[in-house]
Amino acid sequence: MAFLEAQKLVKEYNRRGKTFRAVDDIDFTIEPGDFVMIEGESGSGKTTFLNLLTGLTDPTSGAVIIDGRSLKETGDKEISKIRNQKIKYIPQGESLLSALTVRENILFPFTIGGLERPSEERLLEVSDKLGITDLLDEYPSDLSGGEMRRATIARAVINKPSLIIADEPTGSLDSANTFKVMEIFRDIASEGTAVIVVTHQKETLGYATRVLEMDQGSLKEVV
Amino acid sequence: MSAFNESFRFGIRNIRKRPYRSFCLVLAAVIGSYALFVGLALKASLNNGIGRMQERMGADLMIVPESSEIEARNILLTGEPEFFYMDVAVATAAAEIEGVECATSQFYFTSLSSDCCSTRVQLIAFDPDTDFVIGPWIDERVTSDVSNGSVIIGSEVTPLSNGKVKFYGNEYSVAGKLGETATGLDHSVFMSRDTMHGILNDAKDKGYQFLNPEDDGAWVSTVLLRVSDDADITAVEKEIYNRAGGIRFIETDKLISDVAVKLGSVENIINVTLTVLLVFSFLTMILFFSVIFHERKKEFAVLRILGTSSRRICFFSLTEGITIGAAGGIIGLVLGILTVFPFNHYIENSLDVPYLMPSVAAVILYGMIGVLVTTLFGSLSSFLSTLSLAHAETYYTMRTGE
Repeated sequence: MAFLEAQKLVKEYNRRGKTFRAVDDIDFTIEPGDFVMIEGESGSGKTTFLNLLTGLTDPTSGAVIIDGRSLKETGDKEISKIRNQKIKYIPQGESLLSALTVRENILFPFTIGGLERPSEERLLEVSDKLGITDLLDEYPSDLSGGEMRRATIARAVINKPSLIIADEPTGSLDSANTFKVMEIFRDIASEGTAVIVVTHQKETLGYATRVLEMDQGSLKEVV
Repeated sequence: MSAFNESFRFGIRNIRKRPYRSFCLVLAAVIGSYALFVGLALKASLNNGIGRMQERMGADLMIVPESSEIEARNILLTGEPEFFYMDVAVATAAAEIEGVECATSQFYFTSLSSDCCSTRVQLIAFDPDTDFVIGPWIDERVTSDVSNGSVIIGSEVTPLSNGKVKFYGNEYSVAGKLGETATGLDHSVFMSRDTMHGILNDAKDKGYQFLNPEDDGAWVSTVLLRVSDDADITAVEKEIYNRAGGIRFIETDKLISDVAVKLGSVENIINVTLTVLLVFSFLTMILFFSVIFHERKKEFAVLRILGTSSRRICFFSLTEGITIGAAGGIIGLVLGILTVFPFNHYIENSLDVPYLMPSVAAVILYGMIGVLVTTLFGSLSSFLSTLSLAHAETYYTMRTGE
């Protein structure tokens, strides 16, 4: 059974009195263990699509169904709970909380969700893989862009969620770290987590089990 | 960890992370709380003052020498020591007028602020046989006899270290200290006419002569009257004036209403200042929270992405607002207490109206009101500033926050 399903998903925006479709009638499903990569030009609707999948943006029409439940019929509290426990979203840009250390940032979703924190071993295992163990007690303001990005990825993967959605996660990373992150995503997918990655880096497409292309709001299968 | 603890901890971390802005917010709350506490305490002190003055006046009418009305008012209102005299016949004449229920006279003179005296105060001799003004008030606190050379001191008079007071070289034991009246009488010393006679002799020996002590019985400073309810006070005044000219009448009600007018002006100034400062405090907090939260748009978007509900985000910012409002409120209260209590006398002298500090319970209440109001300001301004952000589409909040 698909963990996430998008049915005839449409998102329209109004720009200077004209309506345009950022996401145009997309049907999409992802199952546990899938590693889907989405490529496409800037402005093709990729980020809007990801925001629709995570319930951060409401669709104009269509539905997103997660674990058999339509987000349309789910309240904010419940959608927030799903984002906290089942879906980890890595947005574009920096998304660490400036008042917290890297360690606290990684563990923050457990704090707000009232969940049992992962063990120190798990924290160190993920931190080691991403090369941020020495930075755990630093504040985001003391980190470089690449270090912040890796800390954000650590926050997403630490509890092996049902779905990871990453919007250009390796944009600010060098190629060595880019491949390291892709390996982490592939490993976590092999353990049953569904992974969706939006990327412009064609050299990483080989890690995916499926590659899709977004073009003017429409999604089509490439591989 | 409970939601409250977690929100509180996160709020404190955010406050500490932005010390300058947090300081400005706390300062705005301090101004609000300080203004509210000091304003309420001042207003209560003024109202207590006039209330107690009304209670303590006792007489309906005060007769003074024609040229001494201002001096008499000064004695009552500010405690500025004065002396003036008129013929004792005024007292006799006034007591005989129809409609006068009680009449008693008082004799005013002063001590000096030199080595011979404890301090410069108003000395008031009264007649215990006819007195109806000071007596009931003395009875509340003083039990020993005042006719044997001892004196009663007003609440603001401080005796020497041996517990006595010294006038013109002689020390007098203190039979008791009166409760606060919020009038100039708090700075006065009361005695019988026998004791007065001895002090006048001592003063004469030192070269200070108010009147010849040998005929001090022929003079009085003021005659205090209580007029029956059905009597026309203006007619009584007219009748007394016809029998004893060269006098002036001070009606207690008029005196109090004059004070009330002055007090009303002071209260208006306090009200306007208080309102301006409270509005300033609230608007500053709203402005700062709006700016801070606007700059933290991205942070709110991240919180949404991590699974924080809109309601929870409001709760986070509410915690910051409450913490800042309460902290500023408490600091403002402490500063208010450090202003109102140590500078009590300075304020009283500056305002030049009856002034009586409120009770401890009232002070606690005003303090609580101050802290509650600024906490409310903090929570309301943070809540209003967050409301639009918490419900905005996360994608746009994230993009515009970058």
